[in-house]
Amino acid sequence: MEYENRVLKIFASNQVFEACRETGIETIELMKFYNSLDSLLRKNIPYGEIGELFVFALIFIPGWEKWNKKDFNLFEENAFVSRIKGGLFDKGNVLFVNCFGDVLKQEKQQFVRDYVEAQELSNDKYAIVFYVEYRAIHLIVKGKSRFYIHDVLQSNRPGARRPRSLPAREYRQLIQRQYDEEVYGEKGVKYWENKKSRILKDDPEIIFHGPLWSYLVQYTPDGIPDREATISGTANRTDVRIVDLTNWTLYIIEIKCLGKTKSDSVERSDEWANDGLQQLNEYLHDEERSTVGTLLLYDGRQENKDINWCTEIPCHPNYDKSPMRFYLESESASAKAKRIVRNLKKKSRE
Amino acid sequence: MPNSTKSSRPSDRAQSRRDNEYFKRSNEILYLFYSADELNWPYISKIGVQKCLYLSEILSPLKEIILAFLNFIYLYKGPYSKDIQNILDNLVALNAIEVVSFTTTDGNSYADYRITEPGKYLVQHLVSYLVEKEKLDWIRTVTKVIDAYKDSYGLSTQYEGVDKIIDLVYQEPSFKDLKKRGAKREAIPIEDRNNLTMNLVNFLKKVDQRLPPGYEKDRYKLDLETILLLFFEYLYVEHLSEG
Repeated sequence: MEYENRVLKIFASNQVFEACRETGIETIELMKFYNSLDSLLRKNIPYGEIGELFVFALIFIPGWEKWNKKDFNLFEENAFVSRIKGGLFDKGNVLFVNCFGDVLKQEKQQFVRDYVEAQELSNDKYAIVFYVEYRAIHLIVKGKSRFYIHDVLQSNRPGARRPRSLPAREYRQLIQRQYDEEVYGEKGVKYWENKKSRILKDDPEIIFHGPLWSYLVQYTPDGIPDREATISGTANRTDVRIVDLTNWTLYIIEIKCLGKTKSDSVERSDEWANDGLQQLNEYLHDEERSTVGTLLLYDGRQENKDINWCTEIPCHPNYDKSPMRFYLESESASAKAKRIVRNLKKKSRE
Repeated sequence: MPNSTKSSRPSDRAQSRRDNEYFKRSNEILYLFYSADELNWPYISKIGVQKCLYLSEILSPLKEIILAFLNFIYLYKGPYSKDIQNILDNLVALNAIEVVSFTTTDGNSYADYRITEPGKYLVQHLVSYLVEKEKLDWIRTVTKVIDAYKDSYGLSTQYEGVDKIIDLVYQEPSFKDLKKRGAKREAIPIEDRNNLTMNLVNFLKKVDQRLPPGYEKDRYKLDLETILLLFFEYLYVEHLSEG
């Protein structure tokens, strides 16, 4: 039957269902809220004018209760847009909201400035927090990011056919495309702590997981991408994997970031890359199912140079071709062009 | 005399059966208005009533509930039952529902309805019968799921409010099959337990068992409401895929 794989994909990739399984919240209620929020953020919001100041956290209060004494209704487009223009979301408020969009109160004294604070909020007080950051949405349950959409205007529902979808086995091509469209130049993913000095944010691997996973969910109609899934029979967790629904092959993607981070001034380089290769070997060895794996390196080092691979690490037969390495640009295209021209002129003078 | 008495009995029984069916159908339509009122829908249009009842009926085997089945046929704007309009008119005459607005354009009439206070009172009494309460609960659940999807992104801008779910009804497998075959005015096999809708529903019921190895299947066991929601999510994804 032609719908079977599609239903499996929808079922296993829908993180609203997953959030409800974890919290016991009624799935219909949370889906109602999510559908309305998704629809609202796709309306004529002047994103260009408000830019990255558009940050707020929604604390979802379940119970199907209509609030008579409400500040405003989030899903009434005019009320919402007028509040944006009034600066409500400029500094990252916390709004308490029910499934109908009634905003009970706003905690102006408690700004949520970043995703980590939103995570803490979901841990400490309530089960579910929707964190909206410009055009991105995070769904955070009990301190853990369950779902992430990097650009709500570009996203589609898991399972929906998209013009540029590819079979799961073409995952390397999808990784390359996600790099070009979202990672390169921080178009969708923010990873630099200090761009000029080439210092990455802390835990950079985690920063890259979500967007890659989200992209794969969108563009693999015949695969179920997972994050931090366990290798069968072990406690080890893969960064990202895809289950191919056509033959149930697993594609494991191990992510490593090279370079310096905010709290670690030692540059991670060859050794870290080799660790990743060894880790991937172990996963491929331990996993009992039909498995293919690849190493994905995001390279934030000072110099763009090849990795010195340790020849003593044996390559597992299921290791998929060469590792994929992406050198993270810290210069804008125009600055880079100017520098190259400057160097060429200098050379010609010499 | 004896002869005439004898001959009138079967026709009385048939008439009584017809009346009974008619009242059952009226109750079910009233339950839809009652459920909509709980969700603060300001009204339901004629189109909305047709689509909501169609989904409640075609999915009712999921709950093993017996509704007084209406006959739906495939028409241009989706599944249509001519009985519904008669019942709506009678419910208005009984003051159980009221007309919120009425317009005619190009010979077509458009009306929006909502439940009245006497209508709500009637429902509250009807549901003291367990079988009626079960029907209300089912229609209430379907209405909630419809409510969850009616404002979703990408649904027709030609319609408003609950009428927007027409896009999802077009994706409903039994209806879609007739549409694909161009079988206009043909009856939709609502009562057939092996129709395409039920095939999909039966797959959804066991979807946790179909997951690839490595998934903790117990964790993914679905309750009835989530099966229903997954059915709607499928319709929505199909609609978006046609984009």
